[in-house]
Amino acid sequence: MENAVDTVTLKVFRYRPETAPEPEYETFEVPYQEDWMVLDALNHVKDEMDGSLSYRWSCRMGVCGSCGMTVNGEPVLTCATYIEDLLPGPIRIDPLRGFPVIRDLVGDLGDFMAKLPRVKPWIIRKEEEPLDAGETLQTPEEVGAFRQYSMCINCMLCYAACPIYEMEPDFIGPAAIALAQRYNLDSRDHGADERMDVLSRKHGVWDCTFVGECSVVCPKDVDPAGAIQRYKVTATMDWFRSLLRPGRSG
Amino acid sequence: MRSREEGAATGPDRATTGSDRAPPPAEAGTRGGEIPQELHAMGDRGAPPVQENPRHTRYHPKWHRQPTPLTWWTRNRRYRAFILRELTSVAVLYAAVLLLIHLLALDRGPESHAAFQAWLARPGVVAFHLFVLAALLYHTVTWLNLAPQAIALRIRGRRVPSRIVLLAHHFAWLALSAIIVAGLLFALGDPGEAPWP
Ligand code: SF4
Ligand code: FES
Repeated sequence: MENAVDTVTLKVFRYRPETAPEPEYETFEVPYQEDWMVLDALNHVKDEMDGSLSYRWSCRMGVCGSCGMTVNGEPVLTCATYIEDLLPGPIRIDPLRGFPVIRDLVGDLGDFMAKLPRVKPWIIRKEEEPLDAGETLQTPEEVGAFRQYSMCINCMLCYAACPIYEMEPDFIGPAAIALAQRYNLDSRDHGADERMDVLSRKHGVWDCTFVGECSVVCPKDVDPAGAIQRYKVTATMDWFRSLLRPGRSG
Repeated sequence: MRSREEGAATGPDRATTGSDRAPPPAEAGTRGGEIPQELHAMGDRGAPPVQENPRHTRYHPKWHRQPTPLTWWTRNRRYRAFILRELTSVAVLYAAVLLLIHLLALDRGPESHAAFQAWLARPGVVAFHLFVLAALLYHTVTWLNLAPQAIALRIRGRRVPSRIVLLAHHFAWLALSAIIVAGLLFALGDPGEAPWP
């Protein structure tokens, strides 16, 4: 703190439902340090200025996915966003869009937690092999087919960036579909038909109009928008196939 | 039940948008509904006097939902580009309908076709169609630009770079356009005698 040459202003969204029915912005003047992330500034506020400020964080290194907030209108991981890049400020910090706010910068992500198991994000086998059959090996190419989608840290930036999710909260959403694809494209998995029931029904992939913003904000280059469009192709092919072979439901 | 309420005190346990959340019991306080002022998190460091908001039950506050403004698409450049792409699809529809009307006019005989030609040649219509052409081009180019994200082509286990997919689409588009124009010129013979003004 002693080498702080300047300060930067934070405009922080506050929502304290016990005392104020409507949210408001509170301004904090924090010292500016070259190597500070937005999260460091929030921690400074909490430690030194107002201990009642509520927000989530854990790893401080872009791994846990809990520190997502809206900074100057863009959904970002606050532990991976340099204050330096936002100077001269003021820096506006809001909770993630699209999720109900419990308090200050803390949104309720329960909606995603409820949706995630619906796409069955685990390996489904037609038949379990006995343990002594050994591992199910995969070639690097087979891993490459889904690896990108396995990088998701459930940070919910993609949901916050999605105007469809904001307006149609029943949309199953970008990360859930990317995670479904992570298993659909896994050579060990046989569950694609089961997942199709959720993915290509109402509020599945067809709610998506390909705004593409989810892939822009994703900190892990998961490209959920790509996953959704590719699944649209798969679902369409499957529909045509079911037309040709009417016995099989698409 | 007890642990559930304690969970809710630090962060509500689940879901959200639906109506499946049972309304909280009015007397949800498990640890004594009131926090004495002196035990407030802020201690005596400038904590505001706690005014109970009658609209909220402690630990089960009414969550705040920000309504989506109609102008959401003005938030950033990419949203605006998206809306423009969606809107210019109307131009695609218009061009298709125009083509059908043109065919209809041809079918109805020379007078009808001539009248349509005359309409097409009006300066206002020409200006409007130049605008439609610009919209069509914007729509086509931005639409083709999306192709690499939707197509994951693998050749011998390796993903074809998106730049190649992109170039292939634009090339195919230009090639098809060139073939159509060349075909038209060929079918009409001398372009000077083309039936358009
Ligand atoms: S897909 Fe990307 S933006 Fe979405 S939750 Fe996963 S890591 Fe976050
Ligand atoms: S604190 Fe873990 S991702 Fe930011």
